[in-house]
This record gives sequence, C-alpha cells and structure tokens, in this order.
Amino acid sequence: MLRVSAIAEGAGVPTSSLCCEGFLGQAKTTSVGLGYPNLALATVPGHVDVQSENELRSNVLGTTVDHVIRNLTGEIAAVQATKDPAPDEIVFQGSFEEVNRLFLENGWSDGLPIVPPTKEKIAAFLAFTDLPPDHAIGKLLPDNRLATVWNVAVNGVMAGCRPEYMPILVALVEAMADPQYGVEHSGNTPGAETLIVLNGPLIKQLHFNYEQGALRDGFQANTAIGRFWRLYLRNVAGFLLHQNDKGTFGNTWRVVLAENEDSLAKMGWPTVAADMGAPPGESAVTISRFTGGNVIVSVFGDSAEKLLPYLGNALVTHTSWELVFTVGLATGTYRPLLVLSPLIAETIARTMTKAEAQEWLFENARMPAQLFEKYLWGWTNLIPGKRTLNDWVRLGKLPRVFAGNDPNRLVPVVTKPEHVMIAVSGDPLRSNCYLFVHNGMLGFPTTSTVKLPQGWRSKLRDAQG
Amino acid sequence: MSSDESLWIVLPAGQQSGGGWIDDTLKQRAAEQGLHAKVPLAGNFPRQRIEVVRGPAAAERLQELFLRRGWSDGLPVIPPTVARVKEMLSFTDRAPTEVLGEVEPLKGLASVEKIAANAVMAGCRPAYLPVVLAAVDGLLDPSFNLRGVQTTDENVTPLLVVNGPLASELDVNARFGALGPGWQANATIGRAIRLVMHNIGGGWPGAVAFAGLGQPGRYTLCLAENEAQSPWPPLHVEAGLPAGSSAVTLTRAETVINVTGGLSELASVMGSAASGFGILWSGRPTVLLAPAVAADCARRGMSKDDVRRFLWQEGRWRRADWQKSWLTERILAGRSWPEWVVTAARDGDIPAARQPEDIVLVVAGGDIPIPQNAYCPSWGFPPACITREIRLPADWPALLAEARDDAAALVAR
Repeated sequence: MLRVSAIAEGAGVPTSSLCCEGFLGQAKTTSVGLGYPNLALATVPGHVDVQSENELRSNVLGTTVDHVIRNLTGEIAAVQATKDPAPDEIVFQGSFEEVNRLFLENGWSDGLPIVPPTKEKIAAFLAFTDLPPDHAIGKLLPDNRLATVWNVAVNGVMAGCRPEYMPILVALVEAMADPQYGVEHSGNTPGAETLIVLNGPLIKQLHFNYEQGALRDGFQANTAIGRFWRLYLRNVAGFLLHQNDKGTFGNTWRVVLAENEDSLAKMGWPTVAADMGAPPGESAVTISRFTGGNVIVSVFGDSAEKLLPYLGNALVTHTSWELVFTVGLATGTYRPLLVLSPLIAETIARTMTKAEAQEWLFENARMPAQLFEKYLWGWTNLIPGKRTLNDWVRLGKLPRVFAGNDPNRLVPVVTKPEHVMIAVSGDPLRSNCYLFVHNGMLGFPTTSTVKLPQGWRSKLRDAQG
Repeated sequence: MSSDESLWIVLPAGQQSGGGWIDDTLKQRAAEQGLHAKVPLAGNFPRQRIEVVRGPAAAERLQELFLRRGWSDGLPVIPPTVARVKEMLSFTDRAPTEVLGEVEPLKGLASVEKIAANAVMAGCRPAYLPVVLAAVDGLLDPSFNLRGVQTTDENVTPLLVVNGPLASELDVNARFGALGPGWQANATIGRAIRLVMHNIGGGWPGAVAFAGLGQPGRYTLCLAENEAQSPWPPLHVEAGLPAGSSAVTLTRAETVINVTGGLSELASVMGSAASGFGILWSGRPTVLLAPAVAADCARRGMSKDDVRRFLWQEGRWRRADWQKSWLTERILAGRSWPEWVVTAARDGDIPAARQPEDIVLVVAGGDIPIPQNAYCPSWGFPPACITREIRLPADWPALLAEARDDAAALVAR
C-alpha cells in the first residue's frame, strides 16, 4: 500500500496511508526505502481483523479520520535517514569481540558472532568472480540499497562462507533481485522463509551435503550460504525485525538443499533447475519462499500407486490459507515442493516419470470445494467478495476442473500438475519425504545460473588445498 | 564500560535527514570565524551511531575529545555510554529511532536516542527523559522559532517551566533558589535542552549563534511553578491541560531581571527599554511572581487575569523614551513599529505586551517577606508560550521507585 502512496506522491498527489497500529514501525522504515521518508500515516487502532463493525467504526471516527485530515492538510514531519559508510571505508578497528559488539549495536548481525569483514578477506572472495566489485546486481526494497558484488562479498565473509562460494552468492543475489521473486514481500506477516535449492556440479565440488540430514546445519557450504541469505536480507535489503520484517513468528533461515543428482540421473528425472529451464551441465540456484512444511514419515509400499496416496494426502492436509495463491490473491502461483528421499523417488520412478507423478498428484490430491472456499473467505478474510470456485471458473480465471455446484466435489490444490515441484534429496536409504508449503507470488520460485570465474579449477584447488 | 576500560558511546551529534552530519558545516563556520583552535577536531569522528573511546583514561580522553570536537557547553559532560543511554531510554515508551523533528538551524534530526545521549551528557537522571522529550517537542514547535533563537544577535534562551505532580516526583525546585543553583533536575533538564540545541541543532556560539553576550541562562533555565503556594490555576491548566497532568512550558527569555517588591516594581521594570525588543516583535514576556506577592494579590481579590491587566496597564514604556529609543532610531529606519504600538503611542505610553493575556504569569520562588520576583522580557516573532504534556511510560511508578532504590543502594554501600 505504501508503494502505491509513493507512486502517488511521485505524481504530486498528496497521500495519507491507512495503517493498523502494529504496522506503524514497519511503515515508517519502509517509506524511507521508498524514497519518501515521511509518507503520512493514519493510524487504525489495534488490528481490523478482530474488531466488530462498531469497534471499527468508533476507531476510525475517533482516530483515523483526524489523522487523514492532519496528513492531507498539516506540515510533514522530518524523519531519520541513514547514510551508509562508503563501501571500502574502514568503519572500525578493534578486537574480534569489539567488532562483534559494534555490528550487533548497529543491527548488522543476526546475533551469532560474525567473521569481521576485513579487506583481505573481502579480496579473497572477489577473486572468485570476474565481475568488478562495484557491479550493481540490482536494487533491493525495502531499503532500496544497491546489491553489489562488493557487499555480496562482505556479507559472505560475515556469514562464515569460504571464498569459493562467491559464485553461488552472486547467483543468489541475482535471483533475489529478480522482480519475479518479489524480495520486497520478505517482511510480510506469515513470515515465510526462503529455501535455496542447489543443482549442478558445484554440489560435489564444494562439498554440499545432499544425503542424510540434508536440511540440517552441520556442513559448511549448506550452513554458511543459508546464513548468508538471511544476513544479506538484513544488511542490504533492510529486513530487520520490529522494523521492516513483520513476520508474526518467522523461523530461522534454512540451510541450502542440494539435490541428489546421482539418484536423479539414475532415474532419468530432471532436476529442479532443469524444470525451471536452467541450461544442463551448469550449476544453478532456485529460491522460493515457504511458509512451513512437515516430514512425511515411513511412506510404505513397493510401487508408485502405493506410495503416492500418502504423499497426495500430505499435500492436501498441509495446504490451507496458501490456497489464496491458487486462486484469488495471485491465481496460479502456489508452488508447493515435495522432497522425496532417493529410496521413495526411485521406487516411484520404476513406473513413472516425474511429470507423470505430478500428473497423478494433480488428479488425486484434492479437497472438497467448500473447504477450499473456507480458506479463502470463510475462516479468513483474505479474499473479498465471497466468490465461489465456480464463480472464478465462470469469470475465466480458473480451469474447468474447479467447476461445479456440489460443495463437496473434489478440486485440486494447484492449477497445473507441474506446479507441484519435486526434488530428490535426504537419506538415500530411508523412506521419509518432506513437503514445503508455498508462499505464492510473495517469494515465487526463481532460478539463477552460477557463473564461474576464469581459472575456476585452479583457483578452487588453491582454496581447498 | 568494557573490561579494557573502553567507553562505548552514542554519538550526540546531529545527523540530517539526508544522512549528512551538521559538524561538516560547523567545522567550516568555526574556521571562518577563527575558532579552529578552539575546536580543532570539529567534524573529526567516526560517522556512525556508536564510537569506542579507548583507555587508558578513556573518560578523561572523552572530555578532551568532546571539547575539541565542539560537543560541549564548556562544562564537563557525563560520557553518553551505550549502557547509560539504554538505561535512560527505558524511561520512555517511544522508540529510540523515533524522530521528534529537525533541530534548527542546521537541521540535525532529534531522534529519541540522540536526545537521550545529550540528556546523559547534561547529567540528567534517566527519569528526567520524559520531561526532556516533552521540552524538545515544544522547542521544535514552529512557533518557537528555534532558527531565530539559535542565530539571533539577542541573548534569548528557552525558559522551561515544569508543572504538575511530576515536578515534585522529580524534585524540580519551585521554591527557594528555583533558578539555581543546587537542584539536579533544574540544572540538568535545562542543560539537556541546551546540548540538544548545540549538538543536534548546531547552535555553536560565535560560529552559527551570534548572541552578543549570551547569558548564564543559556547553560540552564528551568524551574517548576510553585503550585503549592499559588492561589491561582497553574500554567498548564491555563493552557487547557487537565489538573493532575504534568507538563512543561517553554517561553523565550532574553534574560532574567530580579525585581524586589510587588506589582508596581514589576510594572516599573516592564515599562522600560528592557521590553523594547519584545514589543518590537509583539512577544510574550514571562513574569515570575513571588508567592508573597501572589498571596497579597489574592487577598485583594485579584485573579491571574487581574494581575496581568495591572502589569499591562501600569508597566508602560514612556512614549518620549520610546520615541528617542535606539530601536526607533537605528533598527526601524524605513520600517514601522507594530500597529498596536503605534496606536498605544497615539494615546499615551506603550505596554510591555500587545495584550494582557500575552503576559505569562508563573508563581515561583521562596515565600519570604521581601519578595523576589523576576521579569523575563521576550524576544522575536511569533509570540510563543508552548505547553506540552509529559508522556510517561506505562510502568512509570515502578521505574521511578526502582531508580530511587538503586541510587540509595549506591550510597548505602
């Protein structure tokens, strides 16, 4: 909403943005990043979701209206802007403990000790890219700060990455800056967290874990790059809790999920990156935001037909309000991710391609239409207008498969079979799977290929030697 | 303080909304005015929120650093350590990053944290922060004309009057010696406002501020109204706040002139060239009325309005003196006095304010038979008497009690 106000102000139209009380802090910091640090806010006391019509009316008449009038007629307040140090400025000299204290005081750290980003360490990272340090990868909301190769290296050092991870870090920030991903939504209240999926030869070259415990911290590459992601969101994009990050709960950053490409090759299944259109033979990162997930334990059966019903059931039972991304809020952007252990994947692959497994899930993982609609506007107020799925079909916004008048008819949870993404990783010899529930267009799957520097092989040898 | 005796401090200097630091301008202005030797390190500091001043003797080093950077009113300061600033910030519910406004003339942003850092430097107890914040809020009211106050050749300074129960809770002196010295709240709350003006607004004397003489009130000028010995409604209630609330009121005082005696003596001082500059700009002068005089007036049935009317009626600058005054001859060449002054001169002598209501009346000082009053002539445009209610944090009583216990424990040990 503030982004709309910024556009209006840009066109010379005065604005007053309505803002629920709990969001004032976020609004103030967000507007700084939008280049209009004093966008006028009108407070709506409390949160509208839990107020009766009378409460809302008295709150709006008692407070909000006055604010709107003041905003449109009064003097505009000045606010704090921050000026970043120059990229190569030495901001501090001191001990390891002192550097860490300063970074914490300034909000530049996630709370764990950081590796002090000294010029020597940054230079080692820069040696692993052919791009110049001041190369601008993009501009990141909400702080509207430039993502540069230099600040990628700085945050990589801080996160505990090794210099040879640099090409992956650059690719990650390219994806982060891709408008399709929607980094500006990273502070929304569901608090979804990004999962990075890695494909390609770098998995083995950089010693990523892609087997047992694939989603657990404990391997340097998976762990440090996962931490880098969150530090970069903080320090460059500007997502700080109690300010621009309004995740109600949130969760800790996720380690990088590397696919088991040996298993995929054996089955002849495409990788996630290949599904996303990345060129074969190259390494690529795919980022996507997931609101939650769960392990599907002890998937039992010796054929695809016996294994898939349990997985399909998981897909239905774990999907709830996220259906606003299937229809309503951003129709057709719901992209859940099913991670299969190699054991389960290879059993399914005996009789099915990946596309056929996706087709099966589309046909069979279904829920009653009336439950679907409750998630949209019955139990939530996410989608106004109380349109039924059938209405959406008649409007031409949904495929025919959602049509019908029987409230108990079964409908799919995605609009296309390929929207259920499938990855293969984890303990190769255990029959557990994992399902990630997706945050739709607010962190849409985005893939970026990793560009390696000249002389990669020898540089890597030296770094690992 | 960390184990190696380094001091982690919050920088008190003003940063503008575009991110620039006012010290860059101040450094230039100081050099132009030949003040480089006084502030050789102006602008020379890490451009961050926080700085580490290292030992040995970090506290002494900090005094020297701050003096040389120009962050001083000349008196030693309490180091604004991160810990002290945080402790002080616990006495407000406002976010440290909240900005109250731009401090003129160099437009440093008064964030709650920066204000707290300056209040720590001034020697404020943490519990004074709500008063300081309310006073800064008043200071930034456009009608206070801080830009003018900071840069004028006159010696004007903010006069702070604290009202309500908070005045006694914080022991802001209203009685004997209310204008000092001896009371921590009076001494440091006023000083905090001066340091905010100096460090965040950039009102460096001789570089940006060109008051001819200055005045001791520019170190601090803060008192409470003697409500207990006043027969009339207090200042903040006159301003429309509920009785029982606490508030701080700001006026602009050119100086504090002692007047021994009663209303007639006050009127005689008001009806003189002392009021000239205030009259020129239709300002609002302040009268600090001794309790004995107030009691005497009340006995004679006079209300506050009656007192104001008397002072307005009797305290007149003689037309002949006005006509040949320096202001008329030198300053006004080619311009004219305000319409109300010209009208008054047509009929006789000139009152010290445009209308009786413009005289700010405060009962203050000790109750003694030889009453000590004061007249504080006003300065500049627009007329200003700004009252701000003091906002307390939700758990105020507990916070205050805890702070008192902590202070007592230090002594007991």
